[in-house]
Amino acid sequence: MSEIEIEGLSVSYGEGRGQRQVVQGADIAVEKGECFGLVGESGSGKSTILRAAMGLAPQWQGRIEIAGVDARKGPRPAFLRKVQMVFQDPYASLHPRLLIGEAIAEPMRVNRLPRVAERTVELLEAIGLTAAHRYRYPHELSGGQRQRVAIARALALDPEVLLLDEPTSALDVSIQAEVLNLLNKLRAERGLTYLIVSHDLAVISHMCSRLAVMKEGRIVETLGREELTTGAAAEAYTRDLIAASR
Amino acid sequence: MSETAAPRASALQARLAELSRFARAFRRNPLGMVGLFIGLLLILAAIFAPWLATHDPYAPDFGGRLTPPGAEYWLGSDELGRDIYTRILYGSRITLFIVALVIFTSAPIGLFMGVISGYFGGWIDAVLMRITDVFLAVPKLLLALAFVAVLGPGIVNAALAITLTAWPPYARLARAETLAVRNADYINAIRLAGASPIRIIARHVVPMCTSSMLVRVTFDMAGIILIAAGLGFIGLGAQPPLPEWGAMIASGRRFIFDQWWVAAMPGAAIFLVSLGFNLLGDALRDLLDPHAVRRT
Repeated sequence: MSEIEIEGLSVSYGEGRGQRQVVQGADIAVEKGECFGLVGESGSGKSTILRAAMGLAPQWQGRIEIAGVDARKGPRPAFLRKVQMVFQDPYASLHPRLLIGEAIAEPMRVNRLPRVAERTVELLEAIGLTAAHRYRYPHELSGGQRQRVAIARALALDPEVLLLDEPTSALDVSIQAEVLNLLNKLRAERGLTYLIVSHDLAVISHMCSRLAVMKEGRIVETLGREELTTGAAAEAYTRDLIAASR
Repeated sequence: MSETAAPRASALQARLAELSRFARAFRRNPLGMVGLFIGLLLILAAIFAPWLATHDPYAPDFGGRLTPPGAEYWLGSDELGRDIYTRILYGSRITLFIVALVIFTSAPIGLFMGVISGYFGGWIDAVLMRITDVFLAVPKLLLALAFVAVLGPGIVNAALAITLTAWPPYARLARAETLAVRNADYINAIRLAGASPIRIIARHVVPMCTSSMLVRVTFDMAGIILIAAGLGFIGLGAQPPLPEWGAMIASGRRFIFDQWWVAAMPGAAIFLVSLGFNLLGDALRDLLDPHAVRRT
């Protein structure tokens, strides 16, 4: 059984005649410890898959099972302890009125975990900040630091799986590599499984061993890193995408 | 013990740093400082009224009726020979009491209704907002009048009547703020921690509403003072011999042409205080309005 199993996932927004099908029949399987990429242009539905998995998209059909817990039928707290999400824009994903330390501690407090203060410091150090950053507000940090904090918050419940929604696209190019390397390091240290969404093939090829290409709500092709580097894709759309990123 | 004390001091430090940053920005607004000064003046007058007063606010002195402003009566005396300066000082207590009572009742009610309405949406939103609309549809002073007529005149009843008319705008405001943040990623993030709606609302949504609420409250203080004075003027607010400013104007109305100071002095006090709160509100809005705030 795979760590992430998504079968026949369809997601739609709106109701009645205004209803729009955003994702159609997507199948994804990611093994434990793997990093799986999801690429495609804007509006291809790749972020929606992550949101559906986390229960942030209103209507979806199909089956999502992560770390052995069913996203629909499984107990919600247990599911959230297994999988967490990092959002795209670190300027919008940290509460402006919460201190950094409070933001990281909040998930642990909600789940009544022990040793909240110590673990907050451990997490801050794990992402390359210091204990003193606990008492900073988000607006006192740079974009890269904020995204690190968002990653620390996602790790606060010690999940097995991280869903990463364009984790670096809102950051400067020089900072992107830092954050990606941090993510790689955390995956190796903690045995995490990543499902990472990006429109940037360079990011995916830096991080992932396998990827799926999405177009207009459908997964058109799944391929490995070798095919990506050699450009030996089966679909014309994928070849265009690879050529465009060169 | 010391382990828990140290981090608390630091979190406090972070908040104090924010506060002093805010204070520095506020100091750059001269009109805001004038407003703040007037507000402080009102509070100080209310606290120290017995020491600042030159006469007894209630004791009549028929020898000194309707004396123009001068050395004995700084702002003149009224038709019972009472010192208007002293009565205005004591009146500031009544004004502050009404304003505080209205704010501390109407703002929480409005915040609660608005946040619940905005966060849950659907039929809860529809029901709560239609109730709000009913209250908003009636002119404020009229509604307050009707309630005072039912409850009977008096300061507390006047304040409660104003509360009944003052909460709907807060509900609308809190709802709008809630709608703006309820799907923000930082709220989604706390949802993904498994937090209950109550916790999300109380700890994460409400703090986002407070700054615009604060601005609105400051502006409304001016309006509340005017309505309270209006109720006092028509005899439904504070009752004689209480030195309520509106009631004082009402008693001076009869001789407004010959003894202008009886009505003009409390009128000036009302004018000054509502101007002060308006200036203060303006300054706070410049600093706190989320629509004008730069992205940090």
